[in-house]
Amino acid sequence: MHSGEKNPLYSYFVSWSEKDREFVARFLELPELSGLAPTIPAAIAEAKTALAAWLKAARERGFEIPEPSMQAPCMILDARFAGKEPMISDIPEEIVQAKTKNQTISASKSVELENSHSVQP
Amino acid sequence: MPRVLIATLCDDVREEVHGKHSIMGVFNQFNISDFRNPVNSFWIFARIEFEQDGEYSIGFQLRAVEGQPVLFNVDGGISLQSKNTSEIRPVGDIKVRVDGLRFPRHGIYELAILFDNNILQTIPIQVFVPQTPYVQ
Repeated sequence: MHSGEKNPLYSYFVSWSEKDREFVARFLELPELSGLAPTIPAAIAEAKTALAAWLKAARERGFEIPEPSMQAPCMILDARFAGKEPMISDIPEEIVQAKTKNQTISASKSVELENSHSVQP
Repeated sequence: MPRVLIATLCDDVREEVHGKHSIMGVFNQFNISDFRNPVNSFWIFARIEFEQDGEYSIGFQLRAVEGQPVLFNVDGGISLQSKNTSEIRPVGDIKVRVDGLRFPRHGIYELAILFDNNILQTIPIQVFVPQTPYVQ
């Protein structure tokens, strides 16, 4: 495969490592890859670095590269140790971009609900 | 076996003083008009009672009920160290924030809370497309 090939957009799971006393970012599709750092963005950056190295090696050696498990990446954060108000800056850029895209369209719609269940708009 | 005391989806979970939590905007349905867009960020809050202190791993799996693939499957550790020796069993709170999640289609999903590959509880989630308002 050539070097210009796009890397797959995997989803993140970020938690706190009691043992290392740092945040640990993992990919849902490749949980064996992780990044450790004192902040969430730094842990994600570490995980991305590890992923880039793994993908390079996988392509060179012909390993199977898993497909992204979702249509677009998401982030799942175990927030027990992330502070009272996790910051938007904690979220990877590719996810923030997806969140704001077409937002004006969905926000302008109002819907009358058919039943009394609570709904996230 | 651990026992789930509270498990819900909500808009926000805030930490208050003395270890309390405020859960805001409890819901169990998603109203999605365009499946290309992610749903708003949301939280999963669970309070789980254990038989004794210790280190435990609790998993969350979001999946469609009707034969669709699992959307995500994560495991988180929980460490319990009771401050007193009362007869009340120790409880642990888990709060997970989900950003950028897209559901592939409408339908019934469920969030399973897992312990040792056993399902402790499931939270049913309905994903529906809003009906176009009838205009006379």
